[in-house]
Parts: sequence; structure tokens; C-alpha cells
Amino acid sequence: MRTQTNIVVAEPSGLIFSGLVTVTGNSGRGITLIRAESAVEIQRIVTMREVEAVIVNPALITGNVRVIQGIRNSSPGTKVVALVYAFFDENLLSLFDARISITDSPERILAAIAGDRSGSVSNDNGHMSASLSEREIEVLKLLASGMATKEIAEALHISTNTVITHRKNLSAKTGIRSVSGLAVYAVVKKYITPGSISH
Amino acid sequence: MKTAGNHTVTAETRMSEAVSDNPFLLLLLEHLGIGLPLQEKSLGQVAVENGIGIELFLTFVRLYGDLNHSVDIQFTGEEVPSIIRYLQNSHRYYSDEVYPGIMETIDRMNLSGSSGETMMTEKFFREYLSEVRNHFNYEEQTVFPYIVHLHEKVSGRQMSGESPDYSVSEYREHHDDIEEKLDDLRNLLIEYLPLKEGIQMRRMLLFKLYELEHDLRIHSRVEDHILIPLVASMEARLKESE
Repeated sequence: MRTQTNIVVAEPSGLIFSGLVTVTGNSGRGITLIRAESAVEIQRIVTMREVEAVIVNPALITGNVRVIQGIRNSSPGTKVVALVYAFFDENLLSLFDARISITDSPERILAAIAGDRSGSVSNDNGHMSASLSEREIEVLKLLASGMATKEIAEALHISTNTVITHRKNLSAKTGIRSVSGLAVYAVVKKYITPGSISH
Repeated sequence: MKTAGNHTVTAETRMSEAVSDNPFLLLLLEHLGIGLPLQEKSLGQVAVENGIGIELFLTFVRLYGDLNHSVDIQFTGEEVPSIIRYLQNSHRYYSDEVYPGIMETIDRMNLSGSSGETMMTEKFFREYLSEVRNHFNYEEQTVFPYIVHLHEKVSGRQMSGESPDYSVSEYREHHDDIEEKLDDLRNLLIEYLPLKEGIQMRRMLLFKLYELEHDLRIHSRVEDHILIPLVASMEARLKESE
């Protein structure tokens, strides 16, 4: 059993970082916080060490959401958590595994970042089983109805890259990679009816 | 307990022992057109009697024992007919035996209580089948004839005649991942599909899928790690001599 839990924090505010240090230090769970200054540094740390979670201020990655996929590729078991204290687009937030806010209780913050991995549990097949976000479900429905990436992007007023990211997240969470497989999944989960699938 | 694990097999290992250790080798023999009984023959004898290079045969046997076995031998080009025979026979095995068997099990599921989900599963598998057929047809009609032609040219058996306008790099690109949908079907059956039939039917279907996946994975390894490098080296040799 691991006695120490490493958590990487990418947060520009020193005050908020100190707050996290206090919350996690008081938890008695052996949590070590590692501060990262940039996306490159996050990537470097998760490649070199075993990291339970990465807490990121979404403002740091608004122009470069690929960072999240990069972390997942380098370290599939690591949770990517958004630290939110300003307004961010829901599309951006849906890319994270979980989110915490500076107004959350210490218990809620700890549950989101360490120990309680209820939101995303790696199963034997290696994919993350997690509940889908509302946006992912929307993308899934359109994908299952036979729409192409570009059409989905237009329908939801998001970029094709965002659609691709949702698509990757859907596959990572369900373990199903093909569009027709995802369509079967969508029917099973009653997101769509069999009749709504185009032939 | 037998000791002839397939990673330690040599030309002297008894073929019957290797098969007892790993029954999947029966499929290898079938794909290479080698019949039973095996008598007391060693792997080396079986290879020679059937006109297969011993290095190639040992590589096949080791791949059947360990999918990650690294292929590190220098092929001469003489292996081409055996490899093509292996690939064509395995196509036949999938098309004539495995796929109909899987389809039959899915049909029986439909009979025992059709639901939207079962129909979707059937549709999903039919789509997969049509993709696989396209892939096999492409290999049979375009890739294999090209390789046979190239082999004859390189070995000096056929100096004339235009080479088909084709190269192995195209094959690499065309080499679709037909394993993806099979993985999906397995995951759907294990994790999500609430079918009405009993547990046996699902187990039968899953076992058939596992058997198919195992052989298909080796099939892909043979194509990627043996056939493609071999063809690339024949192409290079031909270019040099021209």
C-alpha cells in the first residue's frame, strides 16, 4: 500500500496554493503537494513520478487544452481536477475528471483529489469508468445518430478539436472506440432509441 | 506437467508435446495445411516435410506461445509461399467457420428473446463482418498477388511482365485495425448489454470471440512483423538490381 500521495498543483496564486497545503497537510493522509509553474512542468512531473491527481487552474490551459490529454497519455491513472474560482466555459470544465472550488469544504476537496476516486475508477480493462458529463452525452447522442465531427461541432457551437476531445473521453470512459459501438452503448443506456440511428 | 513451453521450443522439440502444451498450435498446423497424427516427429521434421523454413516455423510456434515474441530472424524471401498459404487459410477459417459460428450464436440469442439491444448487437456484428470481408478481399485480390509476383521476380523465376503498380507502403496504410470493433463487441457483452438470454449463451459467444481475437492477433503480427518487412526488403533488393 502506498503511504504517500503525490499531488501536482498548477495554480498561480500563492495564497490559494498555501490554502491547499493547509487543507491537505491537516488531513493526515500523507499528501505531498508539488507545485508546477507550467503545462510542461506538469507533464514532466507526471512522467517521472507516481501522481494521484493534478489540480489545475483552468486559466492556465485555456489556450492549450491538449495538456489534459497529454497528462492522461503519460499517466492514465492520474486524476485531472479543475480548481475553479472564476467563470469558465462549461466545455472547458467538462474535460476535467472533477472540479473543486475555493468555497468547498476541506472534506469535499480531499474527496475530489485523493482517496475517494468515485468519479473515475480504473477498471481491469484499463479504461476509466466514470459517469459521462452532460456535454459528453450530447456529443454521444449526435455521434450515434450518424453525425460527423464537423456537423457536431456546428450543432453544439464548439470547435472540432473539442468534439474530438469529447470523443476520446467517451472512449476512455466507456472502453468503446468505434462509432457504431458507441451507438449500441447509447441505446443500452437509453440516451437514444434504436430508431434514431441513421443507416 | 510438460516442460516444452512454446517460448523454449527448438527444432528438436516433439511437435506432439508442443501441441499438448498449447492446443492453439492446432490452428497453426491447420493454417499451414499440416495434418495429424503427428507421430513422433520433431518440429524440424514437420517443417522440412511440409516445405516450410525451420526458422519461420519456429517463429510461428513461438508467436502462438507468446504474442509478444520478438521476430528477429533474417528472412531470405523463400518463406513467401508458406506465409501466404498461412494467411489465406486463416482467412478461410475466419470466413467459413468462425464468423458463421458467431453469427449463429447471435441468431440464437435473437430467437430466445429479441430486444432492441440484441438487434443492435447483430447489426453491429454485421457491420464488422462487412469491414472484415473488404479487408480480406483487398488482401486476396491486391496484396497477395503483388507479393507473389514480387517474389517470383526477385527469385529470378520471372524476369518479364510488368509489376503491378503497387508498393508495401500502401499496404501499411490500408492495414485497417479490424481488432477495434471486436474489442468493442467484447466490452459491450461483458459490461453493458442487458440481453435476455441465459448466461451460457453469452459465455459461448465470448469464448468464440476470445478464440477469434487470439488467432487474429497472431495473424496481424505475422502481417506486420514478418510479411511487411519481408516484402519491403524484397522491394529494396529489386530496386538495387534494376
